Amino acid sequence: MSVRGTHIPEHLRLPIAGVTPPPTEKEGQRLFPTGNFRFFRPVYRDKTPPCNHACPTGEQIQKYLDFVKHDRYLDGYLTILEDNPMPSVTGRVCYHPCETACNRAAHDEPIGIRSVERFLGDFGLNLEENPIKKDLPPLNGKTVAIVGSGPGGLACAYHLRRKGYASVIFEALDSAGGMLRAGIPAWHLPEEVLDKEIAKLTGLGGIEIRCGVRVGSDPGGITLDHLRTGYDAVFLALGQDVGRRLDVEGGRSRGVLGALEFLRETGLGRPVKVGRNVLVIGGGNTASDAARSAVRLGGGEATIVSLESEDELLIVPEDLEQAREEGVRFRPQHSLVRVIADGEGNVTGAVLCQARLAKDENGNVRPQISEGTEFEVPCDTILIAIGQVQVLDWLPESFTERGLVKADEYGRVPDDSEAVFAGGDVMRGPSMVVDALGDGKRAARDIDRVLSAQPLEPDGPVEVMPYERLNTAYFRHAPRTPVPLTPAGTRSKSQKVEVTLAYSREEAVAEADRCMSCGVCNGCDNCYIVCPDISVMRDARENGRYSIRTHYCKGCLVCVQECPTGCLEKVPELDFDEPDAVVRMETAFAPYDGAHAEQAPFTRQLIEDAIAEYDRSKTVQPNGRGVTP
Amino acid sequence: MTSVHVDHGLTSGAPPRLAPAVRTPDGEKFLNGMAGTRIRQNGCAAAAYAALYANVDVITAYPIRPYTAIMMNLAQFIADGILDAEYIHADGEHSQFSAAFGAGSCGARAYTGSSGVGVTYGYEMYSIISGARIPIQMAIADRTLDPPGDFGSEHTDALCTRDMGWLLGWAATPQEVFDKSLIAYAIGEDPRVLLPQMVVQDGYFVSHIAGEVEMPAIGQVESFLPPYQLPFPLDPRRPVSHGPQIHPEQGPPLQLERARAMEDALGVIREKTDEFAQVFGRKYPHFVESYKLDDAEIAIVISGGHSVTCRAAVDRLRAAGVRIGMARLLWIRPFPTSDLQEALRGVKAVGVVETNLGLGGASYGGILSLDVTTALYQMDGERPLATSFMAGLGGETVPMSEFEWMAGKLGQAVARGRVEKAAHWVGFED
Amino acid sequence: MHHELTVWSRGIIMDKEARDVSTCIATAARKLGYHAENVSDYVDDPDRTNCLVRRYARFADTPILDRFVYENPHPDWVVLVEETIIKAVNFFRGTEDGSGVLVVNSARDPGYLLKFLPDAMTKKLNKLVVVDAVGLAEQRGGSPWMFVRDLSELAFDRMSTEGAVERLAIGMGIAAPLIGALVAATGELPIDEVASVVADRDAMLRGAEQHKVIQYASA
Repeated sequence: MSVRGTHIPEHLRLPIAGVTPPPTEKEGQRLFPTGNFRFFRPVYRDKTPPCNHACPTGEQIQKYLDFVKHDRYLDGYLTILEDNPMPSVTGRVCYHPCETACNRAAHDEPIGIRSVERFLGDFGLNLEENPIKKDLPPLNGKTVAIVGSGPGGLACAYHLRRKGYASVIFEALDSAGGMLRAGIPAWHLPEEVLDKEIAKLTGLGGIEIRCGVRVGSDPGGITLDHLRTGYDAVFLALGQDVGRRLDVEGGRSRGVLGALEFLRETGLGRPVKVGRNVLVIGGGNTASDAARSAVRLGGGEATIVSLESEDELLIVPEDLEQAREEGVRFRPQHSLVRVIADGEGNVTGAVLCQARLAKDENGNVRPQISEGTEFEVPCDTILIAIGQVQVLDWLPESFTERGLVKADEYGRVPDDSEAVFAGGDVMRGPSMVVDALGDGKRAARDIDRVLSAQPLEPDGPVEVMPYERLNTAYFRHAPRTPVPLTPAGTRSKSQKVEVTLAYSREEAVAEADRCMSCGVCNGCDNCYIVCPDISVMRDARENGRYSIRTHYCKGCLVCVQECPTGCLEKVPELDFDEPDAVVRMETAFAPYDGAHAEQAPFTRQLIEDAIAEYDRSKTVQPNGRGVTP
Repeated sequence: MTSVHVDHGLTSGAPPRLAPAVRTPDGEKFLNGMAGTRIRQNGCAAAAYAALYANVDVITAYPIRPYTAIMMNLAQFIADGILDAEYIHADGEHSQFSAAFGAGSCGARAYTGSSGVGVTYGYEMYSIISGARIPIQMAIADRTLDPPGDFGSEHTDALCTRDMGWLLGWAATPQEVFDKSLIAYAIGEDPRVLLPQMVVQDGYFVSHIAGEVEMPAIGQVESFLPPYQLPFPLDPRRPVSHGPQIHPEQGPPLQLERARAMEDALGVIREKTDEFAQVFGRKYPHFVESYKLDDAEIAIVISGGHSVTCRAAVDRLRAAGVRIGMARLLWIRPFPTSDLQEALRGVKAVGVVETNLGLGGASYGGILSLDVTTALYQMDGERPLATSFMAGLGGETVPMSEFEWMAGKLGQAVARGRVEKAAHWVGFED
Repeated sequence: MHHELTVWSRGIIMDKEARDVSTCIATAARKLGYHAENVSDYVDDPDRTNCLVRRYARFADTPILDRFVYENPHPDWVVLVEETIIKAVNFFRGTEDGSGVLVVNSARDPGYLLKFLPDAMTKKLNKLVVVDAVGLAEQRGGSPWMFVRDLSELAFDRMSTEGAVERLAIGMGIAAPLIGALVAATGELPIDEVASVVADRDAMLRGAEQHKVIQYASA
């Protein structure tokens, strides 16, 4: 008997036939903690998607698209509300820098983010209760004065309220909304939607809007000093609502109107007379809005006369296309020379000439007129849309510069109180609704910091995820879901009919599903599936619920390679100096002597179980048969 | 392109004759440059160089560690234009050996090889090839059979095939691998033998540790190993049938013939080993290397690479006054019964080092002692006591300290006049 | 005199570097008349990418008898081809206290690297030698690192991993400065003699000059 007297040292003892326990979900395979193979560690590190980065309010677009994808509309709505108080407004009128930045454009077509935002906004607007109301902090006793109830002012009031501050908004017009009401036509943004959004804000409590109160230098009225002394901080968001005038011969004839004034009167529901042959002077979005409103009101024709060429027009593409569909005509690279009026001072026509925008020796863009190309066109109304300004003479001179309110990088106006902030058009010049919303959000944050004696700090650097770092193999090409529109023939006859319509629920979900979740984990489970070593752990398919089992991960980086969104990245293992992440092995192959033996009980149990089962089957029952397990 | 050429027309009568295998100009230049140099290389490279010198015609390969490097080297020779040979990468060892068999049957000098479970996967072919008397050569670098997954050397893979009619022997150094490959071809292709050969080296210990190897001149090799001539090649111009179905009564004589060939090989081995020494100047024992056995009281019987350590251990034990010697078996098939008997005459106790697994065999230990003890049992006069030592399994090294432990056990047996048991598990006993 | 060099590296992608270090040391020692061996570690299964692999060299002025004890029982020279190995394994198994010369390829501060050594291992140190071999190596394309070499080169390397032919020059890339730092810090072999067997002699000499040493006990 050759094995008589033999004994196996404990540390070399293997379970029978080298059978080892299976890896478990919790602990993985304990036999060889191969974490020491690794010199790069996969790390979940969310980057900033370009949409999020491009949005002045910092809307977490990827996050809410992901919620929509999973039919979690309320979560999606609440996600938007963290940054933007009025998604039903922006979902209709935003010029969507997010879509412009969307990486999906490099793949096929950008996501229809605005339409999904509108879908969520309208979902929220139809809720009986404002879902954030119950979680608001109590008012802290401090009140901020806000000048202007446009998007900037409203956003500031909203974000302040979320931090416990009350606010009083002073609005010069009779109703709130600023340019949202007085600049944007109802066929873009229906009045009732705006009313509901504003009501939702004022319904939070602590936000008071005083309409018809113009802050100015009128000694009997409200002045800047009132605000500075009566309130804890001031936010100037009065916008720019005074149209720039065009100084041409005949410019004061009856029928020559500022486009902004035209839009304001229309927006406030006052009667405005417009002819059937309208010229709109200007090449921007106001010109487009004015021309389209003129078509609707006058029932005639409108022609946009611009210095800009077709390609240079500063009108957002879909608006341009819709304007064309509605019959708006374009006369690019022309300039208004003079207005022709009849004996009664009514406009009967205009003299135009060829012109173009050219760069002067300093690189500044200037109109260049082609002399001798003048010609006459008939018209009965001329709308001037060549820019806007604001009346700022009531502010100290130190507050203003070149017609704008001067502010530092935090939007803070140079004032001894250090608590006067500005934002929106009055600070930046003509810009987007969403810029004003972003300014309001930032102002609220910084006002809070000033009032709670915290230092103002710039935003930290962000890493924006480029298309090239996505694993695009995982994103099948899918066309953008077209936005439904009211037919041009129907909509161009009414000032009330919305041009752009909403996504259905199915459409919104389908569109959200196109999101590539650039740089942000969206719980796709790819890492969990592709890991050859059961080293990716997760308890739920959600961002933040994944982790790497560092004791075992060999650093093969398959997960990093196959991460569609690029939220997984490799980091040198030696950057991590926590002691427990890697089990130091005793040799190259095994963690420590006896690791095998430790696993022996598992195998022994298997054998014990088998023997017990065998014994049971041998037990003779009264019926003469063994028990069959 | 194979370099097998038939130099006669389509007629019948005389058996086809093969033209001498042609070397490529680059190959000739390369080998001329090598002549007389000593290069450091491991056993795998040495085997590949021997095949290159033997100017093999057909190589059949399927990778498995550790022998893979032999085939990698040969593939490189062909890619570099140094060797003109057909290289067939088979889909598994069974096909691999079948292809080598076919090539050898056609009169090509065929070379193949494997390791571990690769050796056993192609098992069917061993008897077929030796029964057909096709003298192809197979290089084996030992590997432990599964399970568990283990790359280390164990002799079990090659020893499994010991009764299949192949010449079988271990080489202990890269130089010996080189030499034995040439010697084995010369023996196997001898018309008195016509048997396939296995030239075995320990995985890792020989296959992967470099030693110095002397490169001969082409002329030396060609005078020692003339071009391969199979008397009955498969050739459509002179059809013959290989491996026909037979009547039972034809079975015994055929097997007897194969047994005769194996026994006849004993003499041819002696002859070729001596001839090799004349041509190359390196003299190997015919069958058994006797190291300090002349006055030995105890002896280790061993085969393969661990003999290198064993020799050092013998020296150290001798220095300590232990009368120990070593008998290394250079061939296991044919088994050198009489040479071993002579080598061990006068020894009081013999221990066989079993780097293999013979589960449930007569010794309940290894395979080798079955042959060794049979040989000892047939000795005239006083027979030594015999036991065996299970050592170096799974590719574990057998250090000097273990040989010293074995010597202790053998000394005890001499003192007690009997062995403690038929097989000891070294490292697991006191 | 007897030295045991264990070079720790990572399977496939940096195996060549480790092999070159041990080959050059053993070749130089042999040229200098020492008994020397260099062996690959077959048991580590070096054809697994990233896995820990060892290459060994040992040399002495007396013959090496226990030839097949492939795992150096008492390594006194240890080279880590890749810095993370410092927290991966007990590379000082068998090393006598105060005798270990540890050469690490790293651009990091030696103090940072020491954070990863438990006391039991720090006790073994004779010298900690930190050499930025990546920085000192001759750049081949983008980087001298094996893991950015193209596939065909890695395939050659894989052949060598199997113990087949060495296809690339011996002592290139990061192996060269590592050899330089090791030889300079240990002082046992003349730098010029070793440099003569290293393909990238200049990089080897750069490594011999530019490295950081923390001295512990005298040998």
